[in-house]
Amino acid sequence: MVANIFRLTFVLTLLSAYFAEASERPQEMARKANYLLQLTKFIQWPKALTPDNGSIEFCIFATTPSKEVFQKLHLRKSQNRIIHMNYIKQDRELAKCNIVFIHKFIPNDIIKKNYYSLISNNILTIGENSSFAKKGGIIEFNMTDKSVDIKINTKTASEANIHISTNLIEIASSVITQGSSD
Amino acid sequence: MKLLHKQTVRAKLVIIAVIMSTLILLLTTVAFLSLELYFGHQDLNKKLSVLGQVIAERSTAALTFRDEKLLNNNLASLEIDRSVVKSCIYDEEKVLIASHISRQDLQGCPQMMATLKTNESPYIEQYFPIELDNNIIGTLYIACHDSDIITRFKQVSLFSAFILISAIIITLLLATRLQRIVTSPLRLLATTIRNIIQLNDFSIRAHKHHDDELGHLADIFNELLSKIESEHNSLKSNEEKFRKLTSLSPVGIFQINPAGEITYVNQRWREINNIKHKEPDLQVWFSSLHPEDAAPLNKLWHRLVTEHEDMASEVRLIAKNGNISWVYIQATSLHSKEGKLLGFLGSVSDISELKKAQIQMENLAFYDPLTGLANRRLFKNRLAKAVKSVQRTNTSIALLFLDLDQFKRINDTLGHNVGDALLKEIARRLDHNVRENDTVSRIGGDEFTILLTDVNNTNDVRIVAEKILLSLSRPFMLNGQEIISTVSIGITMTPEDSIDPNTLMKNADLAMYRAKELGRNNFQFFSEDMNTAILHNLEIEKELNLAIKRNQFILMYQPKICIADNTITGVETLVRWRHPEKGIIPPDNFIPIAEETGQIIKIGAWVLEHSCHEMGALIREGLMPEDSKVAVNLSAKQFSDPALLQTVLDILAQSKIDPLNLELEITESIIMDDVEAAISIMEAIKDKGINLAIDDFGTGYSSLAYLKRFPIDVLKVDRSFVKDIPQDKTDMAITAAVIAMAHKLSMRVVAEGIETQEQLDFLRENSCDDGQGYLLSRPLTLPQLHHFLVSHHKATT
Repeated sequence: MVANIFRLTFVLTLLSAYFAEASERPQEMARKANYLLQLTKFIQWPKALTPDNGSIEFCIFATTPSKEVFQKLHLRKSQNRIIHMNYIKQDRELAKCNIVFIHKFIPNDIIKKNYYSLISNNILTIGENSSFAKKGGIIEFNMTDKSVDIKINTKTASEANIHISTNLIEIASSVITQGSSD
Repeated sequence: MKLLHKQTVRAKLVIIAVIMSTLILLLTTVAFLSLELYFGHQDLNKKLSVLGQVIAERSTAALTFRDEKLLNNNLASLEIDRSVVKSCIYDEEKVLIASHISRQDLQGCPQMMATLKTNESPYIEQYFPIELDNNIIGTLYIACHDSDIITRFKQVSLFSAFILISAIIITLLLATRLQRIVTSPLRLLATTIRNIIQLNDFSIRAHKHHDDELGHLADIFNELLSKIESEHNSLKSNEEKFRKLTSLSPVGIFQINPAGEITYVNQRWREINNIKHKEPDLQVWFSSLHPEDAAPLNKLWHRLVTEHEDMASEVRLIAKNGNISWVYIQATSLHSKEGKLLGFLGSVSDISELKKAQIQMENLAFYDPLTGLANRRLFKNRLAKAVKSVQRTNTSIALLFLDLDQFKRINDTLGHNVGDALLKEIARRLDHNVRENDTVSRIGGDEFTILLTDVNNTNDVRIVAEKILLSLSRPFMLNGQEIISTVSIGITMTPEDSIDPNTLMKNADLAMYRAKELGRNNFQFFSEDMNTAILHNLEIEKELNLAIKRNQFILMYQPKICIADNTITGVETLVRWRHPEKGIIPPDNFIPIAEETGQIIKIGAWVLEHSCHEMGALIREGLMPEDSKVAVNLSAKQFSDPALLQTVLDILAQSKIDPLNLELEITESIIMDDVEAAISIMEAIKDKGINLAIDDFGTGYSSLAYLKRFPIDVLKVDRSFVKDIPQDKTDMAITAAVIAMAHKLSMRVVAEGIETQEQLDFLRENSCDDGQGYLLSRPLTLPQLHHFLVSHHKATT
């Protein structure tokens, strides 16, 4: 029964997201994709995890609306590394990602639920929902008319052993150094 | 630089030190300020670079995510540096994203980066790329001004100027002090030199203050002073010696400086020039010169002064009282080692006495002291000049050679005083008979010459010669005695006869002898045949030399017979020349020439030697009596030969005959040339036991007073007296008187030239001792004599 309820909620969420996404203009989506690409350039993963000639595994949930826009990032380069786009359907697939973009239609609970996995796998989490950073996400990302609003949870980043450029931190409207995924 | 050369050493030192210091400081300051400016800009650029890089780096994310606020904040942070005027950030599209403008800038950031006027603004500008992941995502432009640097530069410049001025002032002070250190010893040295010059004291020495180069200079200067002092002392000593020497000098000495002022004269100079107290003056001295000597001496003096040519001259000085004195002046120029003229040194000697003596000597040298006429030397000078003049003017001159006839006789018989008086009177008359410009001279004992100039033709000369003959033909009254003297004149003309003075003299002499030969008391013009005779004589002389060498002479003997008993008393040797081509030449044709050339000495010795030898043989053979004599004639040359007696004695010794068997015959004229000397020679011969005879007695004006003094054994009466016997009663009387007189003087008498029986009878009647002549015997060769003696011996026995 609980499972059915969960499934229903998930579907409803996806549907609402779908409709919400559907309401976004394609240019905005492209701009977002580009910002996400730019974001990757301010992030440094542990060396052992991401060798210089390795790829950056960029993951989005398969349910993400207008996900084809993100396909533009596939095989692009950041920090001299090739970006591979991954569309994940299950949480367990998170382990292979370096970056996970969590669309605003996806609730922040997913962070909490997979927090250990995300931390241990040094995964950069970028989310659009408000309080994403507060809820344990690393970068909370929202586009405005001309610019973007970024919030960064340096604590989570530090736990995930991910180094975020001070330049990026500097433009962050909020830097969260306390709190956790709870 | 010229200005610097004119400065004193002190000023030069100070000026050089200040200029050098100023230059060095200026260079240093300029370099320092340049570096300051350069490094100021460098620092600004570096600072700007650092700031730009930081801002660019910090703006990466802000630009990426268009965080204009942050970008503006970043740019605003540049305000901490006051020099930043403006800063602009352009995006990838070079569109202005953010900017920050200071108040100083009025232009601001243009919207498009392309419109930025780079390098045109007064600012220092830099562009910084904003990179992200190796991509340029934007550009940061920063402009800043350098006013701080300029301000700092101005402050430093001001400070440097202050330092520079301070350094110059310090340098000036130090240089002033330094020049004192350097110039003070030099000034002391100069003071020392000035003291030495002023005090003329070379014992003063320079003080040595330090043991440096200047001290060394003082040492060297003192060494130099020691040397100069030594030289000066030596010079003073020499000068003192010079002064003493000149004060004692019999010569006047003077010294003149290059300006022509007399700087020194000794006492003798004052005495000679009669300047006792006044300061001597060269111009005054020159004004005292005789007018005739002033110009030549001025010329010499000018050459001495201008060309430094030594001068010497004899000049006359006229004293104030009008007395003229002769001085010999010498002068030379004095020069330093470097050749600089120091002045002139000269001497003046009083040669008045010497000059007087010289004039007397010249008179003696050129004039005959007895007659006052020109002597031979002066005459020859005038003749030479006249001959040259003739060649130039194409005129003629005549040379007259005069020889008094029989002057010797007058001199000997009447004495030298009368002879001298006669010569003086003749000189007067000769001088009276020629023009003023003609020259009459006495060139020897009784020889006179006359030089007639400007002669038109021989007729002019003839007139003069006739006038002279006429003038001299008038009797001379000397010491109350009337004396008649004639003259023989030889005349030659130039250029007709010759243009050589010596030849002219010889020509005139020859012509004079021709006049003598022609009976004296006449004149003869020279002609070429006279020269021919001379050439003939020269040929004879040459042949005589060969004859002597080749024994071409032969002897003839003419017996002398005792008139009383017809016995042979001796022979007279007569020499003949057997010429290989011309045959037998009689003695008259060669003896005079041999006499003239001196060959007679050798010929005479040969004759004497052979005569003695052959006579000795005849005596020893008994063909000639033991007391018989061989008579040999002596010529004048032989008689005056100092070796005569020794030659005779040697021959006598060689031929082994007694001196008594030799009789030397001398003519009257030989003896009368110099009676006293002849007596002396004759006495020497007589002392050796040799007999002496006077030949040709009666032809030579022998004085009876002398005759009695002659150590003569025999008188030979000349054939000229005998030949006219018995026709000429006078000759007979003279011959008788001579025989009587000779006997009175214990002399034997031999009559020459007996050719007739009458002559022999007369002589016998007058007790003539011996006879000689063709009547008795002709001259015979030795064999003929031998035969004659044998025949005569037989006849008498």
